[in-house]
Amino acid sequence: MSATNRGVPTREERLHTITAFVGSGQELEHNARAGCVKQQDRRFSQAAACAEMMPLCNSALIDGNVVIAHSPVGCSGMLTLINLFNKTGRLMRGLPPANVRGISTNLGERDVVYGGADELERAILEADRRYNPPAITVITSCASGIIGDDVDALVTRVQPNVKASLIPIQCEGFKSGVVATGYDAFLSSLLRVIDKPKRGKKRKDTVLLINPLSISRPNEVEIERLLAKVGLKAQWFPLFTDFANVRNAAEVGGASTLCSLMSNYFFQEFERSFCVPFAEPSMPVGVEFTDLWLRKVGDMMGVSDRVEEVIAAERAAIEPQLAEIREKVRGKRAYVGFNLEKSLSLQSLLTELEMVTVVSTGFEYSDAYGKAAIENLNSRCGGKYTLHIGNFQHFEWANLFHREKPDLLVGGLELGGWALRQGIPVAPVLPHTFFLGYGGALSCGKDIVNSLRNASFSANLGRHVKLPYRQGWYESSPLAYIGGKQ
Amino acid sequence: MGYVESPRSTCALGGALSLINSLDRAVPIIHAGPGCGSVLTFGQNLGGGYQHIGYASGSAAPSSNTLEKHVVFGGEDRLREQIQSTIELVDADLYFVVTGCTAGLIGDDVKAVVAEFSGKDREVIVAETPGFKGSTYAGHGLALRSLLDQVTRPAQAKFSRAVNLFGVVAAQDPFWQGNLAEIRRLLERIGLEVILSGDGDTVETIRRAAGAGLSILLSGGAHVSAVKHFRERFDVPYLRHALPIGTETAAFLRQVANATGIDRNAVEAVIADEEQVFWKYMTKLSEAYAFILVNREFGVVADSSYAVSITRFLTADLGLTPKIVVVTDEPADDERETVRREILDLPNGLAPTVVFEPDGYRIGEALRANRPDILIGSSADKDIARSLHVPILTVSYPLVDRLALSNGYTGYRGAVNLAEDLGTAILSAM
Repeated sequence: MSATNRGVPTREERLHTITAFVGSGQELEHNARAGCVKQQDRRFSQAAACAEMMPLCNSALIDGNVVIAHSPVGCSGMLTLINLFNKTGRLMRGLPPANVRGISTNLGERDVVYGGADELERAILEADRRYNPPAITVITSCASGIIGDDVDALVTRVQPNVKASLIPIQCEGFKSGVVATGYDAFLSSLLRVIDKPKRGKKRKDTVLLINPLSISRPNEVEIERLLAKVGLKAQWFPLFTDFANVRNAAEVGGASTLCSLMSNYFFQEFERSFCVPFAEPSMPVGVEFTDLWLRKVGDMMGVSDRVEEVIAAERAAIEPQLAEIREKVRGKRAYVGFNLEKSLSLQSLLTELEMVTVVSTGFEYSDAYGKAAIENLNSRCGGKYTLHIGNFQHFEWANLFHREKPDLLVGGLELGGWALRQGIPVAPVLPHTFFLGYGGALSCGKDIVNSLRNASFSANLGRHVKLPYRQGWYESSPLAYIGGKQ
Repeated sequence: MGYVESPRSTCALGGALSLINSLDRAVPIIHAGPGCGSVLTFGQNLGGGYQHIGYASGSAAPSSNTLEKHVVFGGEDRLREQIQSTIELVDADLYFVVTGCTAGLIGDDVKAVVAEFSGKDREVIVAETPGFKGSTYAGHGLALRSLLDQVTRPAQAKFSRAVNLFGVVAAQDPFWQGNLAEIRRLLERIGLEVILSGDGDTVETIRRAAGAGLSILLSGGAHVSAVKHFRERFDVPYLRHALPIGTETAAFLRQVANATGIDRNAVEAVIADEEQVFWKYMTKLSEAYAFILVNREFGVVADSSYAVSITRFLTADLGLTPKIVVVTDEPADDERETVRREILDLPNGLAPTVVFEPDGYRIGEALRANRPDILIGSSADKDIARSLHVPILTVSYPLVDRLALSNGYTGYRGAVNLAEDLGTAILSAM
């Protein structure tokens, strides 16, 4: 691991991001004010997430890109699943069906002794020959990092021999236990292929918007609709977009995001390199957070005057239907299970529906993107809910499911199956779910109503599943294993 | 080895987890980076037909989550803490420590740490399975050898009519459970006891597995070393037979009966009875056969076990013409001739092109050069099937366009399923 080769700072270093906390929303707000939010290790931990996952999965979804995992063959295992996101994502955008293009250098015992650089070079040349792609991203791994393959140097040497833009991403899995470090590595790696805008090429009415892989096309359409009402256009970046739109990303008037958790480091570097201003509001879910999102983006783009009338009109338009939904879900107790950004934003919607959030989860927390949203929510719903911060860690979810016995989980792929197996019905917010903006608030609210109609499967299943934990765990504090020595 | 596009397997650690997930009340303790357990579960279990398997898999799999500090200073203390806390928290009969690349490369003395926990009234065992040791198959074989070495006890008595089944890799074979259930049903029907089946094996059955009179290896070469080692150590001979499908099952049952001393007449009676049912359904198929199956030239893209048995069934029983067989699991050099010979052991002098190729792009090239008019492959082959305008039945990993729960393709019942699903694939593409 050479010093020049370390890539982005980890979230732990840069933002003091934590991955272990169980307490009330109030408590976390208090700790954040006092500046005493500190990372603690767990004595017991479960399969979590690494810095390599997001670069692999996201770069596979840049249209036409080939991703090469410089790793043993298992690291690219998630591409199988990403192919599904890819298929539905392409279908919803009218793109022709195509598998993601992923190559593993398949490092073996010989490579970890003698080095894998030659194999990587062969893979790059072959990827270029096979697909003539606009770009090839090269992802590093635990193994390539520990054996010391210098991927940056190799890419510099090979670049003149290929037509594709080579994009190395330093993301050894052991570097960070915070999944968002991988987002930083992924997004900032694209800075090297963004062109400096030519004079007169600036599109002042266009906002560059980061689109996470878990937020699908119907949500983009809603955001485009709202922006059009205030005279703005959206340019999505970087998933499911032609590589030309990655190159010209700096031509925009400003930049924002659908998930501020992932974009933070990129925006700072993007502004430094290309002088593009940015705004990082929370995810626009529910009325209040969509208002805030529009205001922040509108401010940045200089169209604040038009934002307020759009907000007033949108609010008025959905209120009757929102009121109907409220009648059906009022008082229902929800467990909200996503990354923190998405959880808090959905919690905001649930609050508007007069539901009770008993637990809100996050895979990680840092003041930079969590504090303002938590303060907002605490002021609106009292701060008594439990906040669970854990990079996955199913045993703590199981404890909290058992303790709180919520009426439903509002959750995605990570927690959905686990809730069902513990007898809890699921209101899914999946990669194809519409839940952003005012239209998304209605759609998501209806999904929640629907998910409460017939809980037969979860109720029956819960009686037949034995989870692996000892009975005593369910009577213990969910905090019991936070605070290990190592 | 060498680079591979659209890999059809995960790594050695994935194979080890697959083995543990197939056991009853066994919990993995993954000593690896923080992402390995999740990536491998998302890839493997969901990629094998969306199955949730394993007593403590996915987000519930204990993992030491080694970070940079452990890579620099060593991860042994962290592993010790993790084993201790897992035993405290998780109620299991078997605690199975498996290692990933970080532990393998920094040289943690994992065996020494695990030894501190053994010898008590529970099983705490270890297999060193860093990802760079190879594919899912390789890791499954390594972990199987460790499991048998560390849990199986010398036999007090031998039971010639008891057998162990080895070599079917959970989720990597999406239909593993259905496949094993049918093999087990047939073996029990001819009067055998199955001690280890590869599905739901318990510490108790693993302990007494040396009492078997025969090991039956149902897969390609990745498990040969484990099964041979088991033979040397416990004096249990083995026979190898690719997953039998259709009338090939008769040959399989006769071979097993021979090796276990089961009465020949009893076996023949079972075969006759099973075949009568099988041909009853094939008669039912015959109308559609004339319409959609007759004269089909098929291609197979699968691992060596499926490649052998599917090719044989479609040729010898269904009377289709084998055009090309692509073997994707990279058998060792000395294994390839065996696999090729088994694939080409076909009636009527039929001889498909046989290609050993794991790389998705080159698999596409091979299929273009030897265009079949029906393809049996994985979900990764759907693009090429579409571009060749060929209907496809997906059965092999990665399988993401179908669910795989209890369905299976082995034996007599599985053969009917395969014919039925193949015909459905053709009809639904029309």
